[in-house]
Amino acid sequence: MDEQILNNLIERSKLNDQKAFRSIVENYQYMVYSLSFRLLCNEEEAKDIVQETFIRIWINLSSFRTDKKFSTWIYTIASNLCLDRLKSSKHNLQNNVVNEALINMISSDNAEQDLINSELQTIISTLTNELTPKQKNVFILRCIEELEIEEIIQITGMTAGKIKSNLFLARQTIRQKLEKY
Amino acid sequence: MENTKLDNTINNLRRQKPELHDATLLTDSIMKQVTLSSNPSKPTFLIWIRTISSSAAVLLLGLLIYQQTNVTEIEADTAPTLLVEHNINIDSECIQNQDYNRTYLLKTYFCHMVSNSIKNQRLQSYYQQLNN
Repeated sequence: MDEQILNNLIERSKLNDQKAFRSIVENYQYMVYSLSFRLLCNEEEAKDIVQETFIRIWINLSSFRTDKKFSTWIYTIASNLCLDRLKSSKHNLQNNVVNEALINMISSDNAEQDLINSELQTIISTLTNELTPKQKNVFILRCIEELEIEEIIQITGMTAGKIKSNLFLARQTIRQKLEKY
Repeated sequence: MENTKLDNTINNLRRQKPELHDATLLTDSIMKQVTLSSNPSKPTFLIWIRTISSSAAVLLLGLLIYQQTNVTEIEADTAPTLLVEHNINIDSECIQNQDYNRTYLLKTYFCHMVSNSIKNQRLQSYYQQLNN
């Protein structure tokens, strides 16, 4: 979305314009859903996080400064909510049944076939279930969502060194897991 | 070899975006909650109740202070009369038990007159005895 249009939508939303806020939700809900689905490996929980994230954004919109990146702010709220969910006992871990899709994903350098959500969540869950919430968060943000280290520093509040060490450990754990296949 | 496996997997995971099937429903649900959270009726109602009860409390306090001031003024007005009564120093029960109030003022004077007439009679009989 164009930055000027986005800033205009934010300013209007700050003045309680719900139509403007709806446009923001429509534009960013996929991004939040993608991150929360990949972190939580659960469709329903991911949708809950999307809802909670946007409600928090609406409530705290007045404190958002337009000199910051809006997507980074959204990522910060969403990833904090996901981390809380991962740490809590409420989080439902899916049954990790390794299927053909995972084997295909590992062996193929360009898997064309689109996976359904249940297959995707099984794969991500199988690969990342031994990671700590922090390692998982950093791995998803850096390797899958392809965010810059600077942006991850803002989102997680960790130092660059900590991010790199968490990323190294996450990659090592996943690499060891892949050796089995 | 293992790095290739890892990189392949990561690349493929990047391409696979989770599908959001009922996006419009989710948006509607979010907007519904946003409307609920931004509905100012409850806080306004509470603020009104608080304002009204605070004003009532202040008014009552003011009224109480005003009443107290009036009572003190009335007591101050009646004070000389009471002083005279004390100076008479009559140990009559009706005076001792009297409430320092304007309502009982006539009654008090009547008591004084009665007790004075008794004392006068006694004094007269004393003078007569002395003369005799």
